[in-house]
Amino acid sequence: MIATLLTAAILSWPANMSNIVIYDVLCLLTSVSLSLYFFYSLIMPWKKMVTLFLCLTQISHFVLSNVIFKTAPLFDSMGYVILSVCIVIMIFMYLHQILSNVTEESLSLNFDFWFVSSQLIYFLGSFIIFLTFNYLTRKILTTELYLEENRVLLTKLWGVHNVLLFLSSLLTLGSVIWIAFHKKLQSS
Amino acid sequence: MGSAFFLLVAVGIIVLFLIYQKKQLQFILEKHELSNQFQKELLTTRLEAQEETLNQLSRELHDNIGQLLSSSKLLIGVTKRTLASPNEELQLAEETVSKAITELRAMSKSLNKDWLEQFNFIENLTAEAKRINATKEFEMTIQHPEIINLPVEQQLVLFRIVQEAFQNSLKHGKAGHISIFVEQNDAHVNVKIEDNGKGFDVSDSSRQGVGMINIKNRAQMLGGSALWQSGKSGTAVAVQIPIPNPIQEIA
Repeated sequence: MIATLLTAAILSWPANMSNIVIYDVLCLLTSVSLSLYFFYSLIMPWKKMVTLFLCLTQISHFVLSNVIFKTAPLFDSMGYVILSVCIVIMIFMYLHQILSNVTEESLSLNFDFWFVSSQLIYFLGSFIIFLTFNYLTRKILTTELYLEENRVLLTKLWGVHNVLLFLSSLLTLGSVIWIAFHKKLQSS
Repeated sequence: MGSAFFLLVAVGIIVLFLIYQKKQLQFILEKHELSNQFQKELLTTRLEAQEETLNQLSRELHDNIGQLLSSSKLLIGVTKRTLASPNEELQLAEETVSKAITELRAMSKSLNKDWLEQFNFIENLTAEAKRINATKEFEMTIQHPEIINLPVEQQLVLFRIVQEAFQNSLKHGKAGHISIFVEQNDAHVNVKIEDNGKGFDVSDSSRQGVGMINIKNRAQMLGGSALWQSGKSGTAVAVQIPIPNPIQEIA
């Protein structure tokens, strides 16, 4: 559902729209869709409340920076930092739930566990990357010095970010194949 | 830096996985233990219900049929006294009724839990052998130590096991002779019931009746086991019951 929502958003976007706005909207969509996923996956009411609060925080940030204050047309790395940290908190709440509600079912056959683990790899990494990105861009903006080494570092950060995204997708895909293979093996 | 981060998260996920597996194992063990406990309680309740039924039966035999037989004997006695020369049939009828009363009382006692609990396993077994031998249709021999080191309640359950086993021998095996061997060591009480009746195929589960199931359940309830050996003729049931550790009992 999340993937469909994001793909539909990208495809329906006007061609002349600024990349920065697209990034912001994608950040919001990711936040809302993953918050919804965790809201329905978490059992404890207080965890649901925390998820709701985190989602509202991200929506508020989007509204404040894009609608009310209309900040400078730069990539909103702080928005992604907030998104990452919020999702990581939700992931930890989910992992805590898994450890508190042990069942006889093998964890390796639980798709949600693998999906959440892959999200952890991506968002925990993204948190560090976007925080560094935010620090560097602020530094560049303050000093107005865009050095070659800064440019190389920023490029590398994007590279690491893409690798993390690829690894997390690979883990999700691997888990789908593993679970399907195991189910087929059991039924035969 | 990226590799180190990825490695760190991967280790974290593996640790989480291991913690989950440890918890899962504990969960399965606890569930298994609970299930065992439930089964044991269910078995105990069922056997208690059986014991209560036997008690009621014993009371019925003693108070109802026993009284009727006693009245019959009294009437025969009165009739005998009114006759100048009582005939042989009447004499035989009185003897038969007397024998029936004795038999009935002995049976009533062997079914009554409260009565049996006054005596130990060996005493009850000896009394039962005496009752069986008195019929002169069957012969029962016992080899036993002076006492066995089991709590009173367990001795009663063991007695019920032996009762069920020789009832099976008499009823299904049509045995003429039954031998019971009781022995004990530091850890177990072993009872072997052998007969010279018809054998049966032990591996055939369709031949396993309620009696066998009761024996198995009772032995399991005491933490022991019951094993059958049988061929074309003769059957042997070996029952092994662990002697509870006195320290565990206190705990």
